[in-house]
Amino acid sequence: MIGQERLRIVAIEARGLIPRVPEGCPWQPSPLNLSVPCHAVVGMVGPNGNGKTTWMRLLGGVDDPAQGDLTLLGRDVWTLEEFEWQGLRQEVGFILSHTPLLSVVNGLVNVTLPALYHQMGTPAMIEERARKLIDRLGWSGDLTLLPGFMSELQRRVLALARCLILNPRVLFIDEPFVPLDNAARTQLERHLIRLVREEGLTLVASSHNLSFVRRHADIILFAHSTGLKIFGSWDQFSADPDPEIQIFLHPELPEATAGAGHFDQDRPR
Amino acid sequence: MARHLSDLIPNWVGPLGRGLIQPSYYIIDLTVFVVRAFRDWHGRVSLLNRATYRSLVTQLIFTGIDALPAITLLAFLFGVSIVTQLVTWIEVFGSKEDIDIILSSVVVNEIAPIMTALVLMGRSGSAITVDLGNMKLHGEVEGLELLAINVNHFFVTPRLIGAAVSHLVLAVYFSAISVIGGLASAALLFNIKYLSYLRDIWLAFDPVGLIFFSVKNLFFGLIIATTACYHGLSVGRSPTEVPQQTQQAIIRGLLLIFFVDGLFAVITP
Repeated sequence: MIGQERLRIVAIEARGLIPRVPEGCPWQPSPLNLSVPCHAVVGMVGPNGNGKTTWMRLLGGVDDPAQGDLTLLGRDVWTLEEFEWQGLRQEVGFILSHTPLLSVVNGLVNVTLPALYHQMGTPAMIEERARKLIDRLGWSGDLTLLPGFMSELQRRVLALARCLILNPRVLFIDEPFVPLDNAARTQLERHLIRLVREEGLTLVASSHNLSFVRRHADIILFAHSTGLKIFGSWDQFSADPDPEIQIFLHPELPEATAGAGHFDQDRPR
Repeated sequence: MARHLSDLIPNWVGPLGRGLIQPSYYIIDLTVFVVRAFRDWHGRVSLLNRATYRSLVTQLIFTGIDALPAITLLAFLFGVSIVTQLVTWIEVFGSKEDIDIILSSVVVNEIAPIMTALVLMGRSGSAITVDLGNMKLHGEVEGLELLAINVNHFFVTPRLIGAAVSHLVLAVYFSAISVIGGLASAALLFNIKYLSYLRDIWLAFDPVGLIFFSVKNLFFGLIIATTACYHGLSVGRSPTEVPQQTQQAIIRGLLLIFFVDGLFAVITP
């Protein structure tokens, strides 16, 4: 009984998890022990090059670890049979910042494809759902175009819609806001948070957008050079005296140089 | 004096051994690849869902229908240049039956499948390798795997079936156009009586020969698609691997086709 209750509330559980890192890698990770309850927002932050994407892939069950155990939605990821792994992938969405759409089919087919493949309804029903989802994400443009003719922003939003059409219970997303302007960012943020707070999604987002992490993250993971550090709130995170964290939060900007060069002296007045 | 036993072995033995073993491994790899593709296909709840059905139809159109103009022109020119001469020369030295036998056993059973295979290998085989290679290179294949879409089921099996069926149909079409074109040009240039062979040649086929003809052409199509998919999905991280894998797919596919053609020539009654 206790076990079943636990399955319901824990979305991600890592025990002694260590990623595989190549020889000569600048960061050497220590084992990760982490438990993420369902319906939580996890924000992963850290300087570039400290392995955020590596940790994301590991926690998402995409890459094998060097050692340790990972449980997603109560299922031990490394002992799953192939068909069980595919079943899990329908419930655990994973979008990398560079994951492209399928280049040979148009935008609408890209979004409907996973639902058609998994036979989640009639083609008409799936198309209607896809169009609603795309509208809700604030996408505008011609859905009959191939991805190669779309902007980076349009492709990112469609990649998210393609993942959300499967109704995942856990969503891993790498840099969700990078190519977005302010209006699109707000709309996407609102939609993701609504999915978490109202529909029970568990969101793990790796982001440089500290404002999003500060306002919404229930758990903050900092990609430290010695491994992932876990914090229960923004206050706890920002108060940590670790120099790496403080430099990350308050980077010392180089001295301003505007007006000091030849350009300014030679400028006609 | 030789220190080790291996020193007694001439230098050319190693390369010779590798040269003999590697093709065997390659054929085993291809066989496993095909078996896995059909196993994954068979393991699905529905053999053809909406997404894979679409993939199969696209392949049939691309490999079969789009190749019709090239096959038509090639078959007609082959008929005019080769069949016309064959018919007129054999008539000088042989009997009417010899012409039927030559047309059915050489033109229809041997030359038509090989010519069709050459066209499909150059046209569809290379396109499949480049297509899949680029998708693998750009992460599109991984993107689909993360949506629980089985790559074998979605990409490979429809291409294998599409290419095999298209090859059989195009080989029949090539045979018909080349024989009709050749006899028509012979009738036009030399004597109208050559048209009577059009009626008689169909009597030269027996049911067993037709079964062998069908199986051989299905095999040829399967070989073209298998080598193309196998090499396309073998592309790793570098763009330079795409042309390398493409030329390997073409050369190795053609070698296998000629090898299988030889086997069929031996076992066909």
